[in-house]
Amino acid sequence: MPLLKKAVSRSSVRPADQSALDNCLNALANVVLGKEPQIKMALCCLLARGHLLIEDLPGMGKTTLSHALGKALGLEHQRIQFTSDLLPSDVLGASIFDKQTASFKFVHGPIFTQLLLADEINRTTPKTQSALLEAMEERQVTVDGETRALPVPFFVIATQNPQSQSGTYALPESQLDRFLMRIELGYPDSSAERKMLRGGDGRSLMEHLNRCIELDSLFALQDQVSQVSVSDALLDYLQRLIDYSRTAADFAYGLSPRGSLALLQAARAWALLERRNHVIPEDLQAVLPAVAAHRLAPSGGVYTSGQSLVAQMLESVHVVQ
Amino acid sequence: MSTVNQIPRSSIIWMLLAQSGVMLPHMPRLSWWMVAIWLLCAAWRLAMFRGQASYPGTFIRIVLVMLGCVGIAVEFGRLGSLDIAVALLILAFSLKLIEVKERRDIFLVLYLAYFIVASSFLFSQSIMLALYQLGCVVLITAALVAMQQSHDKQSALLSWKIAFKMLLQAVPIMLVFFIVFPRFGPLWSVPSSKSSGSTGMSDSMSPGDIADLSRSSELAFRAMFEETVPSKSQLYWRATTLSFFDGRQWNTKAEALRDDDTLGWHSQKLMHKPVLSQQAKPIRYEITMEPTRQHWVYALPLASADTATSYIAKQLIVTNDLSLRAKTPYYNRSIVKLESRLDYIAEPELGAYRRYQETHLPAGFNPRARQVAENWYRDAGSPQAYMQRVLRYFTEQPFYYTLQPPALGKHSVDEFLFESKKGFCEHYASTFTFLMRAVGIPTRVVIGYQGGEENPFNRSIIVRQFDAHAWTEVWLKGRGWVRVDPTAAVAPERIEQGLEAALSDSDEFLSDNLLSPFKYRNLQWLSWARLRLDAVNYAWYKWVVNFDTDRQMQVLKRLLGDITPARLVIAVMLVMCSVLGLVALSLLRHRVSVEVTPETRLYWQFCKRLEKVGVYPANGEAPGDFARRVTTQYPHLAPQVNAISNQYQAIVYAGNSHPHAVKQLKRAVSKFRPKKNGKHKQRLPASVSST
Repeated sequence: MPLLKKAVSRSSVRPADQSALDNCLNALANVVLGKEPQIKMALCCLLARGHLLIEDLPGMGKTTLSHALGKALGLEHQRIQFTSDLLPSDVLGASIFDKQTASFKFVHGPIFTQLLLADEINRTTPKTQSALLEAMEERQVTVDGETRALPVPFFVIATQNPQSQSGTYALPESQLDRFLMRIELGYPDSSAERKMLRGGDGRSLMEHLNRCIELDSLFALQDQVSQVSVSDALLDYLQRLIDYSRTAADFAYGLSPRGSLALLQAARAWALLERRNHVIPEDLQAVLPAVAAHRLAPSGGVYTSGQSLVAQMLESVHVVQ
Repeated sequence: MSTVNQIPRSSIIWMLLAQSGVMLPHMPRLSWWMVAIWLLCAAWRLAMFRGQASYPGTFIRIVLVMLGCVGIAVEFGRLGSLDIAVALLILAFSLKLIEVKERRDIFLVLYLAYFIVASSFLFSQSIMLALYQLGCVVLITAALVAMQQSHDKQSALLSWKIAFKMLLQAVPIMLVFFIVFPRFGPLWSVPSSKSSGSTGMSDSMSPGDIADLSRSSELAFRAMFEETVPSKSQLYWRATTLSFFDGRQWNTKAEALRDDDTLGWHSQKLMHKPVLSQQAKPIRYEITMEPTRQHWVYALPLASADTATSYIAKQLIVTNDLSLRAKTPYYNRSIVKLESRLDYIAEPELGAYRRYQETHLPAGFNPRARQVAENWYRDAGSPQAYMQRVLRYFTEQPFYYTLQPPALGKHSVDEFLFESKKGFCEHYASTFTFLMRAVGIPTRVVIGYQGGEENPFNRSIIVRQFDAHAWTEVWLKGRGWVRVDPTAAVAPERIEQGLEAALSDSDEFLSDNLLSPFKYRNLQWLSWARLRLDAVNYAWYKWVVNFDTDRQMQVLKRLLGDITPARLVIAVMLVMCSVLGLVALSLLRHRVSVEVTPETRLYWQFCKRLEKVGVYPANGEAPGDFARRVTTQYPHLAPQVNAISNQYQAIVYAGNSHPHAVKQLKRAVSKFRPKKNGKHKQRLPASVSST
């Protein structure tokens, strides 16, 4: 259709940025095998300027994925292994007395980086968790009355074990809300697993992973995300979804306005990854599980997970009305 | 305990509320200790809920159950009666309270509550109770609805609304089942242990019996005439005749009660067939019998079962004294259709043994009366003249008609006739019979009701216990048994206007119950309300409670014309379909009420066309996904489907709302005629390419 072609051609993503994005996806898929959808979702999250939470059992490749993302995007990255005795100053940094200058000197904590890998975030105490989570929202750190801005871009990729595992401090709903997306990796399929077993050491693959995208390309793409157009019909659908989560009996509480903004932003990023300059319902549906599942809880007396609540939303709400 | 099974706070309140609601109508029947057990359990339950008490152990529960069972056994005695079964049910219902631990226990209690509601109809079927129980059903349903609501979305009003709506939706289906569901007779009869205690006629009469009965304003029965209502003085509702006198008490003849003696009207085996006048048209009417626990049917003289309704006739017997008797006592309210011929000669010939039966008097009683009777009879000369002489004596002497006559000794007739001269109808009837029999004129006492109140709202005659009456029948040669009412000689207003008028000088009428509405008949509005309510009650019994096979057939005939299984099925299906249709319509309207843009309407049209092929978008299926599904399933449709779908998405999501684009979509959709089989479509491009 000529009209549609015209609509697509209006997309103003530079071809160079687009190919860099594709390179990124391919390179990551070579390192983290059989996880293309999750890789794409993670990139989508970063393009939407959101923080990412990866939740799964130990050994599923959470850390590998987050490392690979850091390397492929060419961002300066730091990793913190969260443990139960970690203190907020271990994350944020602290003022230390310097004998030579006879003054206090602020030693930057690992949080002052472009990409922070927060491993097993739910193994640390709520006190340390909240130190990190405040920085995530404000994108600045205040220590000793002095506010220090965090670098730009600033991403947090956190991993956590499922709450049922012992030795975990569950993140409260208010803090889960700070993560734009939560994804699960799941077991690889048999062919990917075979390839992994044959391919030998993942770490060597990681070492060969090069930077795929320049920083200004990343910024340009992030700017493009907010340029993706959203029609009234799509907003109607989005609002129907939100409304359903707020009124249906099985939901303990609905999606917050922050949740609905996150949903729209993620859908825009997804549309960009799909090389479209407008959002269609499929974009919304693609990001909904990752964006909404960790923000929802079933009401009392109903045994379901956030995932099945999202499935219920998708099945119950009309796309075209 | 997991949170899922925990009992929500409000559920306890709902449960107790529903329980109190359904227990209330049973309260008057329950003894005080059962109410106490229930209150104890409820209090215990509340205390447990507040954490002030713990769950009772097995021992305590067993003890409570045992105590309850023993209590019921002592209270009701006889096993297998209705009261005992209901009492056990209520005991279990009360004791279950202290066992309620999880959600499912509350469900159990609430389901039991439905049973308790149903069981109360075994005792009373009045419209007031029915309305109350309807309210209870809404309450129980609301409690069930509340149990299903989530913690934070609970609202009592919402539960009520949902319950009310659900039950309202069930009403048409209930009506259909009510009308078409086959009516079975009772498969078993449940005896009620309260065989005494209800007021009404008995098989015998001693001085004071009918006066006692007249103190009650309870409903005795109701009559509904097909045509005109006979005058009040004609309304002598016979129950039975009393021929055997032991000096104090009048009894029915033992023979009259034997079933082999008392044969059906049409069986030609009646001992003394009455002679019927050929001209007189029978009066047709129906009697609504209250549960009297007696066999007697109250009817105008010479009644027989309405020949049109055969199944009622099978249950009735005409006895030799020409009263009507049912084969089984009336334990339930039931309707009997009758026809009466007021013009007849009963027992034209009286044999020697029958004459002995009907003139027999025990020796050694009332010598003065016998003496006077013989003197009067000698003076009068004929039975008719003697009868007039006796009645004149009642009129001339200062006899009083009163509900509170003085007590009489051994020679009751003597004392009444010459000393007290104060009596109620049974005194006059029994004295008159005695005087007749003393000179050998066959006479018998008849008991029944006289008169009744006409309800102007439905033209029915309401007969109450205070209309109870006793009169006599005298056998005269050539005329058979003739009704003579000695009370009419003393207090003619009793016959013309009823008991209240007869007692208007004193305040004896219903002196025991000051609150009875009958005491205040002159209050217009009260009378109006009472009769209105009565008319409603009558309609309720006639059309709802007593909706039996006969009435069902009548109604079905009126609705369907001819009753065939096919017609019945079609009628039921029609009603069901129209109910479902209404529901579907309301759903559809709900959908249409959303504002739809032209392009979306076109898209739905497109989907509808595809529905004929067998594909339709699922609830959450986006247009793009749907198009992909269709094209994989029917590749031959791909060009058209993709074109329409892309065009639609371009308009709706890419913001291309140019009028031209909508027009283009409209053209594409109107041309779109999908077919499952791709052959036809494929041939077309082939021919195009060949040209």
